[in-house]
Amino acid sequence: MTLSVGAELFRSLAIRIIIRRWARHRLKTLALLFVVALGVSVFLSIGLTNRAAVSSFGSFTEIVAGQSQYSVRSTIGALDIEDARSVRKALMDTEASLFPTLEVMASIERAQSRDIYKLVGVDLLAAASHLYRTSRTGPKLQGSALENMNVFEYLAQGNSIFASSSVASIHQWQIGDNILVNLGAEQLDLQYSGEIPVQTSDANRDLPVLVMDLHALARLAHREKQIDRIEIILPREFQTKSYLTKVSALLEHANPGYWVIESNAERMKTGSAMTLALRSNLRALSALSLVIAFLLVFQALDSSVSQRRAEIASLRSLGVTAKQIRLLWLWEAAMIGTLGGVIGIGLASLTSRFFSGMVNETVSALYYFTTDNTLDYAYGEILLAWIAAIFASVLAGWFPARAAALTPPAQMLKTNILLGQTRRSIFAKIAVATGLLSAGSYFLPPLPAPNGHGIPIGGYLSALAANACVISIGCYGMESLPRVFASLAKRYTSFLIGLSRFRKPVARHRLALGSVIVAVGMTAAMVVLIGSFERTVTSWLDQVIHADVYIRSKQSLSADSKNGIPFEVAQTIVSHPHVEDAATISRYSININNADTFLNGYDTDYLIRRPHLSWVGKPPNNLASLKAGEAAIITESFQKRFGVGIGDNVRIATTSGEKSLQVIGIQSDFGNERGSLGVDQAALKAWTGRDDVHGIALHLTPDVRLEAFISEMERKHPALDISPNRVLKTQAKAIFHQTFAITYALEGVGLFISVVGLGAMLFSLSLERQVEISALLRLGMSRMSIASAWIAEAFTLSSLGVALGIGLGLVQGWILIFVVNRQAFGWTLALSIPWDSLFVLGLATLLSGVLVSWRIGWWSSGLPVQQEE
Amino acid sequence: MPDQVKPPPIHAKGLTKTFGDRVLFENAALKVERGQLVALLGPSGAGKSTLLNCLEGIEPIDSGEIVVAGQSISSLTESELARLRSDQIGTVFQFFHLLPTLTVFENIELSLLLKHVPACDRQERVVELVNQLGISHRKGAFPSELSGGEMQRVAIARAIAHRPSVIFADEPTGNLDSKSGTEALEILTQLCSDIGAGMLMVTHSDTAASYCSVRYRLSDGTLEPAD
Repeated sequence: MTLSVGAELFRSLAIRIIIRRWARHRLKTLALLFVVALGVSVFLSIGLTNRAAVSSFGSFTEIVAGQSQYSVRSTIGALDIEDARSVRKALMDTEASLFPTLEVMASIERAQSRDIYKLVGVDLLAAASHLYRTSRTGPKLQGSALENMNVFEYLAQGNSIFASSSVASIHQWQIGDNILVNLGAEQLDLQYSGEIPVQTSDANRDLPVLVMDLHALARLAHREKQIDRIEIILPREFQTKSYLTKVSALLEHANPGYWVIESNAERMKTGSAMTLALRSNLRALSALSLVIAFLLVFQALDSSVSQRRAEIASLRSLGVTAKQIRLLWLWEAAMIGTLGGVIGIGLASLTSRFFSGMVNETVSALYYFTTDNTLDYAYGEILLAWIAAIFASVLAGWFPARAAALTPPAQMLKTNILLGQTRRSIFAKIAVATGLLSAGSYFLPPLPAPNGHGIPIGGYLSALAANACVISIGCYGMESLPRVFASLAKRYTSFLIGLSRFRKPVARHRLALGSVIVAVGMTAAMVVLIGSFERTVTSWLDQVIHADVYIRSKQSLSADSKNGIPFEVAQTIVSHPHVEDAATISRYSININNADTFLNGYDTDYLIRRPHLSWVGKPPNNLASLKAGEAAIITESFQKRFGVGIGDNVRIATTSGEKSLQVIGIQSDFGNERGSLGVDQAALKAWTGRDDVHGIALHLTPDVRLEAFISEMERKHPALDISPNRVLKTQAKAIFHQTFAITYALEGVGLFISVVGLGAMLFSLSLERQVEISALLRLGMSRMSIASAWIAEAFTLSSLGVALGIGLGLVQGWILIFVVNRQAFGWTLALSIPWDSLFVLGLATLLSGVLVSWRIGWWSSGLPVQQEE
Repeated sequence: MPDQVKPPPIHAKGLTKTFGDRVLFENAALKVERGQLVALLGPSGAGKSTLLNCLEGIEPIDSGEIVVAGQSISSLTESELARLRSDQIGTVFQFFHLLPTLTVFENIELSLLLKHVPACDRQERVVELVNQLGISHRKGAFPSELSGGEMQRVAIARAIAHRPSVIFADEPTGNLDSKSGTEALEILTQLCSDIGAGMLMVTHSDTAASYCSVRYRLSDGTLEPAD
């Protein structure tokens, strides 16, 4: 096959102009590809991690039963065994298999750690039959605990526990081993009976999950006759749209009012909606790295055009068209995106594991138990990241390509002129326009979000426009730097030369300034947000954590832990002679208007006796009315999510019928953004039939030694977590910091890339200025003075970037606190500006800039002197 | 110290420089006295600019000795060499090499700044030179706004401003038309004479060489008097 003349010319130019330059500047090319790859890997890692966090929402039961088509759960707490019968009856004439399940959290002590697992109770007999029936087409019974169908043996034992292969190998369990498992308030001696047969993908082998027989678990967890969920599975041939509709209709028809019936897709949506705000914020932050990385692509290509202006002019004289020149540079941009993307995808195998651990800890602490074991390579996410890399790279190359194409033929190219100067006034106009856009969009109402909160589109737009506005101000102000530092320039040659660069700044100066402003601005905004959060949460914790000792199950670190402390155990504890006063709290998941939230049962007398809740506005003066079971207090997040306020009624479906509760107070709660509804504990017990508690607060008599009391409690109740006031506050703050750990990491990557950007700008300019540097050496400047000129240039640029970035950070911090947080999470925070942290951020950025510029200045002044001949 | 007892600005002997197998110059000797104009002739690629670089201490020599204003440069550290260049040497380039972001005034002032001349003296000296060279109306302009002849005048002013003992001029008229070239040479020789500086000029031009009292030719690795 022969290439057309145009294609042949293009191929030849691509090899001679682009590929040879890459080969000649291998280190520079590799550095650019690495930065692009880093941006892509961060973006992809967050995508994969977010996906894993959502997918693991429903994967624990799947490990045994396979993917269900529907699930039924209760609006409050658990279903009754009678509900299973009702579901069976409703689906009697269908091919559906039912899997009633119970899910609790179990912890197992190791030498240095406490491992928390999801313990799933399934009907072993039904599971074995299902597995046996379907094993012909897929499931791997061979080698599994159920291979020989010795289910009756396990049922007879009553304490058989099965584990996924990863859990079994971590603990090196052998069949028949006795295992001590903490469950609720008790420490149980169970017997390891084998690996769980894997129903879905091999990835599930690694899930941190344990399985027991449903009835055995119900007995051990003191949850007899309770079911958390009924999974409904249809044979493959019956998974048609019409059959699914029929099953759904039958279930809806039988719904007594408190069933939540969800298809598999709806369940995933629930998990997705629950974590929407967190995932969106992480996506936005990860995109920051990608954006800054592609500013570097812009820089690199702009530099390449600038350095090769004469070469392009010669090509134009020889007949190469402007279009071919443009295509050449766009092709280079696409190649950078393609190769950087591929390396980034590879790099993501390392970074995604790093980010996944942090995201999963956050999701587990705030939303539901999840694990990074579900992290796998999703082709959709990979393709998205790759396409984003190529698209962003081509976009970044667009203007340099245009500038290259605009180069006139050599005959018309004047030497020694600076091409591509942008008029300064254009930046003033952009600054005014984007400033007005930022101010205007600040007041836009949020879009409705599937989790009931709002998508703060106005806040995001306002922050984005503020970025553009501040960058434009920087580009406008950059040319004033020589005047601002004129006194230094008059005294020091290095400053005279370094500062003079800003009289005629090139696009790379503006890009480097932009990336410093964006990175410092976003980091400063997060510093302000986290500082405000910390101050607000600390003051809130000081108010609400007021008792001497707090007791809960050891597995309650996960936000969706259903483990309670049996009423009798709680009674024993609160009646201890050294307990002066005590209160218990019950906490259940609840579904209101198809949205999940929490229902808390409070000891009303205790709330009146020891006022400690933090109220939004005036505290209610009729807390006693809670006792009648017709009033409720809500959290601020609940208020924003469900659109109710004081005096409004909230309706909830319970097993004993629908209840209407009038809101009498709104409390601050920064535990999670799902919010909660608080009612009297006795009323809650009557509605759910459950009397277990989820937390106990103890006030001790003055004569008791705290340490002695705690030791005694730990000895008596080894399965319970017993924390003094100070420790619980520390733990709460640690969880708070942990939730921001990934934010710190992403900010760090953003800052790193921006400093690399500054270095890349200086590096490319150093290559362009080689003749100038040689001339300066011959005029008598020392290497030290030349390096100092680079420092002066980088220092003044970084100073402007840091000053504007911190200003931008304050504006964005304000937007995050008063728009984004309020609309996305329903939290009102008190603004607090941690000036010391901002100072450290600014100083660190400046020092990094100085260090990078020093290295480049020193290196470039030591290069061989350019000859004129 | 009276001029007659001051050491010559350049005294080099036994200079040898090779690039791989190629000998650029071998056992070369060259002397530039104060106020003396010396031309260095030779074909392209003979190594004239390399010899200039070696004399300035920019490039090392393989053997030999170079003494600039009484100081043997082989014994100097990098910063001492820089100080020697900023104090004793002025350089004029073929392509001017004015700093594009400095004004005419600042470009000329640069060599005075490097010599740590006080601000008021710098101001006075630059004004004196721009008036003398007829470019006072352009002192606030940037190089990109100047003609070739104007740029070379600024470059000459920069080389001469700090009153060095020797000027190195590398093809100072190579990028100028004949009229501008002649003007530049007139100015350069006049200013050298004014401050009593010696000048070593690399050139292809016989016209330019005719301004010099001593002429050397570098060819096939040998440096010898041209006359």
